[in-house]
This record gives sequence, C-alpha cells and structure tokens, in this order.
Amino acid sequence: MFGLKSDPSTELPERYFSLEDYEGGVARWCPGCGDLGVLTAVQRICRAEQLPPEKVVCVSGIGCSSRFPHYVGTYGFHGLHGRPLPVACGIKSRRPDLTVWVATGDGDCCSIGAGHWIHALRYNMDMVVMLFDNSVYGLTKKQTSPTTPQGMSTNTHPSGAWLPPLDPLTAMLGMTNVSFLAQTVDWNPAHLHATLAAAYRHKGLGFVRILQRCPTYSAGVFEDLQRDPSRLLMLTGPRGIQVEPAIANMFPNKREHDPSDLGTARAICEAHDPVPIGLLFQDESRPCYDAFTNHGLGMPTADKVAALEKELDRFTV
Amino acid sequence: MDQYPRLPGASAEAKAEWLRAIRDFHFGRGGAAHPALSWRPAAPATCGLVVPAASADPTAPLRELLEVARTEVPARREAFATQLRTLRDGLADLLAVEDQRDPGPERLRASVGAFGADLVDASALDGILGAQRGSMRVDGRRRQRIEQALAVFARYLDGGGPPLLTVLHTEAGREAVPAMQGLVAELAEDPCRAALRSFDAAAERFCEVVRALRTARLEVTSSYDAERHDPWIATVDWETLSAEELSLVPTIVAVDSASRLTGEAMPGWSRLLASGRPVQVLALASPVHDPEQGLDAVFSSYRVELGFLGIGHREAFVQQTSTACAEHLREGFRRALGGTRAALHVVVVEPAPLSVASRAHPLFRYDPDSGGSWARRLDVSGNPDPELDWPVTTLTCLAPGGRAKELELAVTFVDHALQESALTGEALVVSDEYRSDDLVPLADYLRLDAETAARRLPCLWVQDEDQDLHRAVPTRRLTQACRDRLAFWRSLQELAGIHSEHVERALERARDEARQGREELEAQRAAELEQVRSEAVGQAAHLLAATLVGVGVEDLVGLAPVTAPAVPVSTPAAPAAAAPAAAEAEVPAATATISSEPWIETALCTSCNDCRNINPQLFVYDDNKQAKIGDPSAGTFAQLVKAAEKCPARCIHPGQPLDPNEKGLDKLIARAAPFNR
Repeated sequence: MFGLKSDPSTELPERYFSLEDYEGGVARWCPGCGDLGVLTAVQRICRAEQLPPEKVVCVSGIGCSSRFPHYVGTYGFHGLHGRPLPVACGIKSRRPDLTVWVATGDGDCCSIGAGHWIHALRYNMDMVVMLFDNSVYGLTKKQTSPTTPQGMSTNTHPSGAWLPPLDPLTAMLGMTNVSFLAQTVDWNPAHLHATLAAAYRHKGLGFVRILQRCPTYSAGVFEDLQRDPSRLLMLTGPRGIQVEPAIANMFPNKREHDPSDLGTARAICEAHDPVPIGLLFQDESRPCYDAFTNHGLGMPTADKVAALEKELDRFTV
Repeated sequence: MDQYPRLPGASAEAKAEWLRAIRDFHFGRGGAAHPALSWRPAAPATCGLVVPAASADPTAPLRELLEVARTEVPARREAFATQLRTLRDGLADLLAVEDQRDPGPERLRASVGAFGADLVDASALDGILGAQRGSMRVDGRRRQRIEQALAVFARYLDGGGPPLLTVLHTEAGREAVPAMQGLVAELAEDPCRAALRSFDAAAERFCEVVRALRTARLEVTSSYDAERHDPWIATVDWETLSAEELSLVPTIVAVDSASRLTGEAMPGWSRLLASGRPVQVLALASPVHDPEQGLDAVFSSYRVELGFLGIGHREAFVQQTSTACAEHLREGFRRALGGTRAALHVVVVEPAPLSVASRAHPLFRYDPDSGGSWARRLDVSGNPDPELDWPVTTLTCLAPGGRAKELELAVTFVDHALQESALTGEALVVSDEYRSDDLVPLADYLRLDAETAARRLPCLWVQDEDQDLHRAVPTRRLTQACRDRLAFWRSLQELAGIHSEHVERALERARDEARQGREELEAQRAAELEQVRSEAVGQAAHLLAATLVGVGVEDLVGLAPVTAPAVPVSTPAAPAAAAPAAAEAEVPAATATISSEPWIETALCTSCNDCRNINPQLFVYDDNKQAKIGDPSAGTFAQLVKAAEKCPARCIHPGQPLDPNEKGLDKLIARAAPFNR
C-alpha cells in the first residue's frame, strides 16, 4: 500500500464556469447605457468566485435596471415595482446557500420601495444590493425620480424638478443596522468591479449605490463628474476599496477614510461636493436576520408535514 | 582523576587483587565471591526518582484509545449522517413529485372533498393535469436506483451505528481489554489476520452506503448518466474512498503482546501494515521480562525493535509510547484515528516512564502524513533531554561530614535493566573500602575509546534499603546491551535531525569555506592597503623632493611617479566640457513617436457594446468582456473614429489611418485628433 488507490473516477466531474455561463439574453438597454458595465462586473465576480449558476439568484423590481435578471444566466426574479428587497429577503431566509444579487433603481428603491429599503437594511441579510441611480425614471421615459437634481427638466416637471433630491447615502447612514455602504460610478469599470466584489465578500447586506449614466433621458447628469474626476473624492485606506495604482491615479482627489468611522462617513456624504466614491461604512459585527430565519432548515420533510398538520388541526372549516 | 581518597592501609598488592576480582566478575569469569564484591538488595540510585508505588493498569491503552475515539468519531459520523439525511429528503422529494405527477381522478376527487366533487369534474381535471409537458420523468431504472439508495440510507441511519472500536485479541490479551460501552471484543487466534478480515467486511458494508451516497448526489441534481456512472459506482471499494469517507469505516483494533508480534505473529501484522488498510495494531510491551525465559532471551529481546520494524513498512503510522506518558500516547492515538493509514502502536505498560527515561523504549512517532523526509516524519519529542545520550537527573545525598551534596546522575539503560528480577545478578555492589579511578561512571565509560575502555570498568550508583549510596559494577554483557541501546537512540536522534552527522559535516564545510573566504578577503585588503600605503609614501616623497628642488605644484603632473594613482591631480577644463558634447553628438536625437496603431484602454471599457455594434471584427471582447482591437484591417478608419466618438468611456484611440486611399481622410484625421491625445 502506497497511499490510496489513484482513481480519477472518485471525484465528481469538476465544472468550470466561464463568463458565457453567466450570460442570459441579449441586453436590450440603450446604447451606451451604464447598466451594461454593472452586468459585466457581476458576471466577472461570479466567474472569479466560480459560483454555480444554479446557486445564484438575481432579483429586481421594475425599471430599466430591473431588466437585469433577464440578462444573467442564473436564476432570477423580476418582481413588482419597489418589491425586490422583500423577495430577496424571502429567498435568503430559507435558502442561505444561494448568492443573491438585487438590482434596483432610484425610483424602485427610494420611492415606492422605500419602506422595504429601510427594513431590508435593518434585516441585514447576506446579499448585495445594487442601486442603479440614474436620477430619472427611464423605463417610463423621463419622469422625476427621488434623486433627480433640482431644476432638471422632466416630463412631470417640464420647468425643472422643484424639490431638492433625496441623498440615499445620508439617508442610509441614519438607518438602523446598516452594515456596508459604498458608492461607485459605472464609467470606471475597475472601481465598480472592486466595489461590488467587496460588497459580495461582506457578510451581511452590502449596499452599493452606483452613479449610472442614462444616455437617453438623463444624459449629462454625471457629465461633469466624468469629465472632471477631481469632482469625485476617492476614499482610500487599508480597509477601503482596493484598486490598482493606475486606476487610483485617475482620481486626483483622495482621502484616507476608516470605514468604521460612521461620523466621518456622514460628514463626507453631507458635504455633497466632492462626490465620494469608495467604502463609506462597514461593520461586520452587526446582526444578520438570516441567522434567525434559517432555523430548522435541516428539518426532514415528514416532520415539516407533521408540524403543518398539527398547526392546521387547530382550525376547523 | 583522583576522585576517591585512597584507603591508608590498603597495599598495592591488595588493590591489584581486588581489581582483578572485579574485572573477573565484569567479564563473566567468576570473582563474585571475593570480599571486594557483595550482593545485597540494592536499586539503582536513579530509580527512586522515577518509580511510583502503584502498578500499571493493562487496560490503560485501550481505555485511552476509546476515549480518543469518543471525542473524534461521533462528530464525524453525525456530519455524515446529516449529509445522508439531506440526500434522503432530496430523493424522497423527487419520488413524491413523481407520484403527484399523475394524480388520477380518485385522488383528485379526494383532494377537492365532498363539496368540491359537485363543482369539479375530477376526470376532466385529471385530463388537464395529465397533459402537462416539459419536466423530466423518472423512468423505471432511475426509480429503482433511487429506491435502492433510500433503502441503504434507511438501514444506515436507523441501524444505530457500529461500535466505536472492534477489538480483536488473543486469550492471553483478554486482560488488556476493558469492559466499556462502545467497545466490542472478539477472541482471535491471530488478531492481526482476523483484523484484516474484519476490516474488509466492515469496509464492504460501508462501501454500500457510499455507493448509495454517490448515486444520490447525482440523482438529486438529475445528472446520473447510467452509461458513465454505473461502472464507476460498481467499482467503489475501500481504496476508492476519500480520506473523509475512509475515516468513517468502523475502527478495528488488533491487540497482541509485543513478544508475540516479534515472533510467530510477525507475518500477520507485517502483511496488515503493508496492505494500507487503516487498522490499528496495539502491541503491548512489558518493561520487565519473565525470568523463566532465560538471560539470553531477555538480552536478545532488547535488540528486537518492533517499532523500527514497523517504520520499515514506510507508509504506516508508527508510534512507540508508554502508558506513563499519557499525553504522548493520546496524541498518537488522535493522529492515527484522524488519518487513513495502518497504524502500529507499541505501548509499554508501566506505571512510571523509567523505560522511556533510560532509552530502553524511547518515545517516537513516525507519521508519513507529516511530510516526505525523515526530519518531518520522525518525531522524538517527549523524551527527556532528547539532545543528550542519557537524561540527567540530580540526587541530593549526605556527604560523610553530614553536608548535603547534589549528585548529577545519568539515567542509563542499566538503571532500567536492573529492575528486572532476571537481571539482578548482572551487577554487584563494590565494597566501599575499594576506591579506584579505574571505576568510571557508566555514561562516561560508554564514551571512552576502545583502548581506554579496556583499562577501565563501568560503575553506577545504587542505594540499599537504608538509602546508603554504593557503587556497583555491571557485567560486560549488560554493559554491551546498554551500548546497543545507546546506538539505537543515536540512530533515532540522527534520523529525527538531532546531531545529524550530515548536517555537522555540511556545517563544517560551510565554516571552512567562510573562513577561507574571509582569509582571502583579509589578504586582499591587506595587499591593497599596503599598495595604497606605498603609493602614498612615494607621492609624499615625490612632493617633498619637488618642493625641495623648487619645482611648482602645477608641474607635478609631468613629474608624477609611475606608481601614482590614475586620477590626475587637476583636470583641464576644456576637454571635460568637450566630452559630453561629443557623446551627445553620437546619440541620435530622441523623437516623440506616437503609435499609429489604433488601441483601446481595455481596463476602462464599460462593455456597452457600442463599438461592437459598429464592427464586431474590428472590436472584440477579451476574457473580461472588455473591448480590445481585434483585426485592425477588418474595418475602416471611419469606423474607428465613429466608435471613438460614441464610446461613453472615451477609451478608444483611433491612431492613424492604415489605408491612405480611404475617402475623406483629412476630416477623419481631424475628428480623430482629440482621441489620440
């Protein structure tokens, strides 16, 4: 005997997933849409982590960005307007083995879905939420969304949006049990990829707000930021988003930031200008509700049926 | 060397006669009756330091092994059972779904109840439900496989599990087997051969579960391909199990005495170790021998190294340990049960670690899983003073003046051997009146060269019942046995990396080379220093001479001695300025060349498809789905410029046109210019 017998058939056939394995239908977003870059970034992360496609679920609500699940070759749930987060939390409650990506827009998340937004952050279940913020309702052809800049002309406000926009970052930094909050831009694929990867690795709900260009209905909203990178404030530091030096050099304006410092994160966001990108806040010690909702997962089917019958026996028809 | 005060009255003749008698005894030529020597109940002085009163429990090794199994095995089995339960539920769900697929009118009627039966036509409903399409059906063969796997799972999960240890022992070995829960004992004529058969039977029973497990894994993901997987499942045997699975095969232990294993039972355990089956062989050794065996048998038994024979099998886990070293024993059991190799445990059953301390049974562990080299595989840690020949212990005694004195004693093999009743006559106490430098402490004696040793006699300190210290001389036979143990211990040390001669030689070579290198460097430096010094002296003498004869310093250049340094005292300004100019003239003027090839800053591409919509041959995606130039000749310059203008990331640089005859080049070049900067 010189060790165990060498038998290649003892191993189940290994699977390797390429980028194509995560591709779904042909993306029907407008030419030049920022969503395409986010789609590629997510597919690349899935490939890097070699996530079996059947173990990934992309969940979305309604909006341009919510077409996302159709373009990914994994399981998907294209839900109701404003409701991707309850669906995602439901999935994570009973299927902790699945990786959940949530695609939601500024209208979907911050307007009709705002009630769910608050509580999903509080539940802090292990998933990644990508807020595609293009400052407009694009799918319905340019209505004012909660994040539309003041004065921008839309179909609902032809003479310009009347109210100041909602800042999702300052809002979330005030919400209970938030555990990971980052901001990135779709026009820098390297930073976008690194930010989403950090959110994926985070244990808990990784929320990433993506400043996303809509070339059709809100073209020019981020043009200043794109043309003049000094308008952006890149947050650096050993615990922040790590990118190659060549990518970091594209952002002349940098600041070292400790993501555990909630007060400084708030101050940075409230300044509004320059616009921060990077990891604003992270606290992995925050409780995750899925740890509670996953109880009893190994319960045999027969026991489940017995428990249900016992419960139903309490009622008479 | 005058360690002992001479007796004033003893004459030289008397001393010579005493020495002759002692030598005669040492060499086995009689002499024991001489007044210089006496036999009295005495024990080696070191023994009092290590021997407790209690006797050893023969069941201790199996108790320890069972205890280790209790901490290791149940968790593994539970994890495996959880895995089986999950698969069982998955398979049961598959069958449940299949059973519900064609409900039939009766079941539908029952499901809608008496009230619904009046409203719903169950037969029509069955027709609708039965016509469903698109999902995979479970065919007969597949159902059979699933049901077989479920039956095997049920047997395994509901069977209560095998015992933690199945112990096979001889009639004589019965006393070593404790009656404890989790342990099943079986009598066998040759425990090692029986263990081999027992393991094969247990492994086959377990392989049936593994076959069901592998089938179930494939079935729950609907990836079972009968053509490919049937032969694979059929060939599952213990050698194809993974390490994790192999550790779940019930543990079989063959218990036998070390003396039997080195005798008639040797072929059995040797075959077992060579087979690689993860069976535990427990060889129980006694620190003392049966006096009826005769002295020759006792001495020859010391030369048989069961543990070392086990190491000779190379791929088996082997440990030599003692019940008196509980932590060492336990750690060895833990490793053996955690591994997937055949294991031989040579355990000395003794109440105190004297056989370990005296190097009679040194502790060692040979673990092939630790690495490929001896240094990694063999571990002698746990032995007292592992870097010394013999461990040293300190005895406090009273000197003749009543003063306390500390005596440093080496614990040698003889100290251990004299515990054996068969060997008590192998050392005699020397009369206290005889003092001589010819008696050398045993540990020192064994280090003497052959010529010196021939003129000396070994001795050791013993204590009588009054705790008085005396010297005793061992026989040559016992001394030789001690020398043999030392040689074995040194082999172990060297293999484990302590005092390795190879290392020492390499170190010596390295030291020699370093010394040689240093000497060369020093010689070189001294020569350079001497040269500089002589040049400086020559220069000074030259300057002095020049000054004395009235020559100016500016004229010294021409008068410099041949030994002067090559660096001139002063350098003319003009040539110095001319040299760089000449160098510059030789180097062609650098020109800022910009690549005329089109290129893309791929890392900045947002994968928006705009460029690929223009020309998918000219623009292609890389592995990260980011754009790069594919075939530059596959498109026009106009397409490159158009793509650069459309690209939201502004990462396309059109370069210069490849085709000088393309239409409207002037305008295109002007449009491309902002993207080429």
